[in-house]
Amino acid sequence: MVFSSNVFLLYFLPLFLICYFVCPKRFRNYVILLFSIVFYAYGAPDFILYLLGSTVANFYLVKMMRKTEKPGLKKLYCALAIIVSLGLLVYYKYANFLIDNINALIGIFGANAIRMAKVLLPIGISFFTFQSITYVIDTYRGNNEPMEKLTDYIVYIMMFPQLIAGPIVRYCDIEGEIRHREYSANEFLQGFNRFIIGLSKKVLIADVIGFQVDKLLAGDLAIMDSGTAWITIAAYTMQLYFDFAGYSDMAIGIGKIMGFHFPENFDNPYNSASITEFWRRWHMTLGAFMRNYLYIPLGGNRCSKRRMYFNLWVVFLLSGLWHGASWNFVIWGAYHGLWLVLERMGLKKFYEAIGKAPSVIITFIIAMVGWAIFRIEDLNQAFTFIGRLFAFDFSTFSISADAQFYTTLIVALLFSFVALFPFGKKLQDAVFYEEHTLTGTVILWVIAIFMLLFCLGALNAAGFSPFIYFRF
Amino acid sequence: MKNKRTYIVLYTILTVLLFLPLAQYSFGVFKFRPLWGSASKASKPDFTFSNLASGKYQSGIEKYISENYGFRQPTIRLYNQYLWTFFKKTYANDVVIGKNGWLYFDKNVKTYYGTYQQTIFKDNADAVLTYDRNIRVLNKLRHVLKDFDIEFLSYISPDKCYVFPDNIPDRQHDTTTIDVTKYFTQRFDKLGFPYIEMSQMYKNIADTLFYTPFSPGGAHWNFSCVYAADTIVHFIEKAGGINLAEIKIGEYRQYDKFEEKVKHRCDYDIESMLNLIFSRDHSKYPLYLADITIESDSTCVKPNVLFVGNSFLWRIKDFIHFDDIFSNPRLWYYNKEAYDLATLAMKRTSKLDKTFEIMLSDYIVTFCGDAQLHQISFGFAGETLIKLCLSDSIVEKKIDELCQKHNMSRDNAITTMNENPEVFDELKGDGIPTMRNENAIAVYKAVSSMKNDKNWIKILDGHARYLKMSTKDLMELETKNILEGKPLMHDCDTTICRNNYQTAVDKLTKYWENDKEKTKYFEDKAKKRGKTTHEMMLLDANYTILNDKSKYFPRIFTNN
Repeated sequence: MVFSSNVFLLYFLPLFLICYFVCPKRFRNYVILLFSIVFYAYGAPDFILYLLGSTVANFYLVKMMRKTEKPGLKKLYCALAIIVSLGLLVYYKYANFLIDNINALIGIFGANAIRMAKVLLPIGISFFTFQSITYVIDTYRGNNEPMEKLTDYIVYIMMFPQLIAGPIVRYCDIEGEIRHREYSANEFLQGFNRFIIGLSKKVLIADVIGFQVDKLLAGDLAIMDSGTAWITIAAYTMQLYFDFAGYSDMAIGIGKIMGFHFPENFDNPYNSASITEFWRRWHMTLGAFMRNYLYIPLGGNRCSKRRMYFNLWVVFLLSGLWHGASWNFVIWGAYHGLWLVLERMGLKKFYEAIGKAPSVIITFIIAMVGWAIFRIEDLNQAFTFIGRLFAFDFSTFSISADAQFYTTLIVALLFSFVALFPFGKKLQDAVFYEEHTLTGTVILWVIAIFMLLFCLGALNAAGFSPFIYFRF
Repeated sequence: MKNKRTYIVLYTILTVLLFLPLAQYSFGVFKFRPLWGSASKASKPDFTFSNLASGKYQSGIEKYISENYGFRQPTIRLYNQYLWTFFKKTYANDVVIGKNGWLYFDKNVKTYYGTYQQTIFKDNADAVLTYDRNIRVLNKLRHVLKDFDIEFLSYISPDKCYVFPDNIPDRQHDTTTIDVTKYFTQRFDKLGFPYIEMSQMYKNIADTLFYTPFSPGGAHWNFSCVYAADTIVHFIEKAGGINLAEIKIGEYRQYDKFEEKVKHRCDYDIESMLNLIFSRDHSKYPLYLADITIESDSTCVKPNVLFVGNSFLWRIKDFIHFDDIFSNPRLWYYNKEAYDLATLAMKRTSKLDKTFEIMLSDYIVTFCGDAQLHQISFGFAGETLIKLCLSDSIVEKKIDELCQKHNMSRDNAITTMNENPEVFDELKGDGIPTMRNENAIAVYKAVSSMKNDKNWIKILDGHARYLKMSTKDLMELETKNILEGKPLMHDCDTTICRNNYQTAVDKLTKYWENDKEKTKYFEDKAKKRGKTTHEMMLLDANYTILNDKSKYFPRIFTNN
């Protein structure tokens, strides 16, 4: 189930809210659990048992790890718990990719291809795997005590707002709130407003732009003029951001309604003056995960420069692979890793020398080119497209008539960069984070209700394309 | 938080608001303006594990909710209004937004620019093949119908794009394709086939009328269609050498009240499909109405007319009572739905005795638009040509052959045959077929004998009034009686008819009373309707006997 669906907005969410708030506080985790199982089973009924099974296994492995006094055994349980989580991720997400590549390789030597039935990918596996890893490692490190109740642990892993697409919530961040939460009508309203902002980002911006991006990229990329290519990639850049950030807003908003405080996932990433900064602002919870559970254990900065560059590359290669089991994601990860290394090698000094605005523009262009590799799975096509970007051939460029697309794109660009300016930052803080006066709350509340109705219209209007009469 | 109570009130209202769509769906508390336009409806999917596992349930229920959720109409209108106001964009199917807010259909715009052909045909040769075949079939049918004293005429309804080309969006003209209207009219002229091409006529009208004959937001002609009706009447008069009732137009008055706009929504039919919240400004192109009177004298005749074609006739029907000019005016809408233009009763054409319906007609008029010329008459001409010329055995043999040869279903074979009757050797080429179907001849004779005998029609009228049926329906029954050698209504006076009808109702009621299951059924139904069981049975018996004519009527009209 996705948030921007009729089933969720018109049935699941109202039913959940009523059950959640009507139930006594001590039973509310069970309500979350029940609704989360329904939420996941609705979208992927085949995998619900797998998800529950791996979650239960992890819970007991961690419990045993915590109980034992022997360091060796502790390590073993920790490794086992990680292997269970990662093993399943590797199998479900990368088995097809691995087999395809092995077959391609052995095909060169004339060997017969290995045959294996295609493995279907359980939705959200990348996110809940990482969440369970944070729980295992943080408990192993002694940062937190393991959960006492299995149901509370399942709630942590399976909580529906962030189950499918994050944010990746570290156990230590919401440990207390799983056990005990404060509720306030004010937070409820703030959460609702945040949810509507996210829904609007997704439905009114990302979907509108995405529709046109799909159409543009379905054409022959080799003959695309540079103007169209830049518009296409700028549009995709906005689509991806508003889609993902919108989803995160919705998750954070529902979390707030429920009394949870999930970590922020985006902080105006396109305002970054370097790729290093970009990764501190884009998918922040993934960045934090990679830093805490991969980069630092590999040695982080506290090693030789060469080793540090190697670590950065490894982290970004794996980060790319985490996004999808395909070579374009690996290349995309390597591309970002390369820029990070270059920045550490001296590019950052260049950025500092030219000032913030040019650096932001350069970083934005680097990110856009990266998104081309990310979006176009076929690497040949991806590089053809990038070639068209830099061919600077505007001879056949013409702006098509879809005013909605262009207007939405401009609005998206404005929203993306508005926080670069002081008034924009103020506005953003006022909408997202500050507590409002009563009048302010009422105004925002009315706007949110209107936007909900508007989004419902947007979601369903496209599906209603009537004919004047049936013409047989 | 300064006022905790207010926040709690807002929170409570919000929770209630979130539930409102669900409540509206379940109880329909608020009434909203329905969305205009035809779209296929999704049915509620079955909740089964296999459906859930395959994702069919999820996609099905999403579509179902999308079409049925509470507040659907205002939310969709709200978004459509946003799209329209800011981007001049619509999701309505086939709608093209022209200059100055004029709306057109895409097919018509493509036809105007010569680009529609390539969406239907491979090339010009392919198009000509179909066009020529259609023209040959129409011409053959015209000659065959003459043998049955039926005039066959055709008219091409006006196309808004041709009448108002200035407001069409600019596109590239494809001059390499065939101008379909020109092609058809040239061939018709050559063959002497009677037709009217209305686009040119409307171009002329547009210059002389003080209002636009097509509104900017409409696909069809507005009140101006009365001129087209007048032209059709004169066309028929000229073709048959007869005198028909006259259409007289009274004083014009502008209409702009909401109720009138709803009543005459056809004038804004494309605009209605935009499904906006606010109506567009119509002040620049005000529309007018006038009272219509039909004047006739003793020299006027009322021929039977069957129209076969598209939706343009609907608008004429809104202003003119066809039954004041014609007898049994009927429309076979796209040759699929048969409407009695006097009562608007509808039946599928597949349920009709088509041979009878055709033989009843003195005039058959086909009409279609420029974009529809490739399927002129919508299969009627081919089907009728086969029905009137070939014996049932020849037709059956061909159906079997087509089924076997092309591995197609019987229905598909029939459609193929009707679209291209030249699959029969007997109907190939330009020559007029000489064979005639015997049943068609017999029906023609039976119907003619009734039509030419005023006393016979009077008797049928009498029966029809009592039975609350149309005379035409009784003529159809009488034709069957003649063909099957059964007693004729002509020979049965109304008293016997009434007595036997009552006997049939009584017999059926008694039969039901003796059946326990039926009695239980009527008890339940009577309870729901607040009637006694006997009253309910009588009502249903009357209904059954009136509607299941073939089963009961022979008994009603005989002493058996």
